[in-house]
Amino acid sequence: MSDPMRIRLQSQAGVTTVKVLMSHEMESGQRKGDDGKIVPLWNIQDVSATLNGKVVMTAEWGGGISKNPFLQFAVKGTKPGDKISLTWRDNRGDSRTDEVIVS
Amino acid sequence: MYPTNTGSIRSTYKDAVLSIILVALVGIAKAQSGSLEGLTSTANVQKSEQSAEQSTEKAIAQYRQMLQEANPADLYVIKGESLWNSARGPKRRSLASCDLGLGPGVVKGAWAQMPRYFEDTQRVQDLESRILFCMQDIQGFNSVDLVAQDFNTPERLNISLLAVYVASESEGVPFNVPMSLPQEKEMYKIGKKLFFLRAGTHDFSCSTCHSETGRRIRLQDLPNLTTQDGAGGAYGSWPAYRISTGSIWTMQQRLSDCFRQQRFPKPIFASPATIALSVYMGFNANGSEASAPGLKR
Amino acid sequence: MNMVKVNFIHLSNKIRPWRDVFVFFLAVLLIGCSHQSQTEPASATFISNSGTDAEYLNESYLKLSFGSSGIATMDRLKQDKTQAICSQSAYEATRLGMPLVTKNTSNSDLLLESLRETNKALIFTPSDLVYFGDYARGEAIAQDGRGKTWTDSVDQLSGGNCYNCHQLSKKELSYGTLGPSLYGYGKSRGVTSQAIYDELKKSPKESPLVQYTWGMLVNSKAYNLCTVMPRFGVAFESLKGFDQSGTKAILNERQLQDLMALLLDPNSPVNRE
Repeated sequence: MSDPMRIRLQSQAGVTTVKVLMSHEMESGQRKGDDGKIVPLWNIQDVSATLNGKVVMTAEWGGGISKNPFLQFAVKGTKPGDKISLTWRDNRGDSRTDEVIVS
Repeated sequence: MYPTNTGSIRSTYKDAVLSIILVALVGIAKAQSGSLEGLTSTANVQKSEQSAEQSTEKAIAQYRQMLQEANPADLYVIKGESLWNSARGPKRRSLASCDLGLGPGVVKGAWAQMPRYFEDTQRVQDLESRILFCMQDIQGFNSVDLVAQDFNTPERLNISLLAVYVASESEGVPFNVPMSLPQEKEMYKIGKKLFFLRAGTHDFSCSTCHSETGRRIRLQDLPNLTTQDGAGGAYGSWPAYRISTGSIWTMQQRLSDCFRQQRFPKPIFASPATIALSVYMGFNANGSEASAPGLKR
Repeated sequence: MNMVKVNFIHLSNKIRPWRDVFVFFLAVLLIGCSHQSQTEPASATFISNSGTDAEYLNESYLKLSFGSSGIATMDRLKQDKTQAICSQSAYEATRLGMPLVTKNTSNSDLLLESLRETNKALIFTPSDLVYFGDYARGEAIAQDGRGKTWTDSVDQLSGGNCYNCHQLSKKELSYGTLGPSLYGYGKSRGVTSQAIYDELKKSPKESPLVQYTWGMLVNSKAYNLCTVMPRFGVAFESLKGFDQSGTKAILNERQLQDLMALLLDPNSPVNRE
């Protein structure tokens, strides 16, 4: 059960800046835990964003992304009422989608 | 044992590599501003250093602005709100009827008026002690058991989540900690006395570090908690997300770690003296706007 | 390798989250851009204390709020006379040179003086009159902030944690400003050559500088009763057992000697840079 993303939009003249904070532990797979053993890799691998169903951004993430990642990007050609949806998927097969409406 | 740093250890190596690259980039940028002869003249070196410094300052200011927009505490506020409204504990009830001082279920603005005296407990209570009381009274949790645990047990972590949610509902509200009842006044006196109490192997008191403006410990600025400005900024920004531990710390936890470094014995969670310190700081902060949840190193 | 592959359809800002990385970057930048100006002693704003109200914070009240943990036991809250007096804000104010103003100022002045003498008596003479050790070890002690907390073990050597409050070597930019800068301590006090330093080592008892510096390290309260600087060489009786250095003080004799060298040896990073 994954935690919701916190998405904020800032729209101006048809361009919407999307700021999203994702809740994820993002274990790099290189850290040793208290017991001295490596904590296994557990991180977000794919992120994508759609505007009214059409894919506008995809990202593939490696091990360098931190815990609770923050992502910011801009989408051109938006108007009030448009739906922006964000999805992430991690290496355990978990995924999370959250949507916001452009105001 | 102490809460583990889930964030710092694994990111240290990558931080080091990336920051070396970034510092190198800054260095390259500095070096490239101006011709070779220009670089050897002091004025140009100063100018290029100044512009590099200015662009660094701009970058830092930009980064700080971005931080405000990306405080991971927000994620924990969402979790805390969900916990608040969930039916939990042996009595399987939510905290929706918890009275934080403004009436049952009123969360908005409540923290800005805490700590305060509560009729039902006949005690002055701060954020955590009041949440603890509601958890016991409404939900049936065993508060004695919870107090005995460490900050990083699952249910104590839940208290931190609830606390950051409640505090966030007072964001921007000026502090208005009441000081009219004799119990409240007494707690202020006790808090102030404890603030100045020197003890332990190092003769430290809270005032050792927190009673002057403009001081710092290593590179960490120290707020003057005896003034409205200092108390408002510091007291008003906890609970906070601590980047170094990748977790939410509440004021109780901050006090506990302060006492550890003061070489004091360990404060008991939500105990009278710890509440008294929050009364002292909170009342000193009156008038300042609450800014929690904060973002700390 | 760690790769980030991004596929944009529209213009975008950078998408990599820099949270943890930038904190370290910020720290490195701050270290790189910091300057060494002295902060002026701020005017202290002490809210007047109502005095020693015996009914507050007595032993039973403290027992409700604190508990022994590890080596940090409850007897640490038993204040000695110096701690008790300096917990009163009128006396605390004197640490910044403010005049002592109490209901009976002349009595208070006498009390201040007598407590300073009591503290002075605790300044011991090092064995064989050896006041100086190794400055490299001294630097390590100045950097080390461990010891005496409830997460430390009883046989762990404590550090002096000097950089928390003081500037010392020029190279170390991560220093605090709770105490005055000690950069150039020996050099600015006339210890500018090996010969002069050797003379200090030979006749330490005759040197006011050696006596003052040693005295400050061992027991700063002998000079400024309510200073916030800990008493590094004074035994804390209630410490359970001894740490491996065989002392019940924060620092042992050898560590104090090393700090003396850090401050006064002309070759020390404090003086040579």
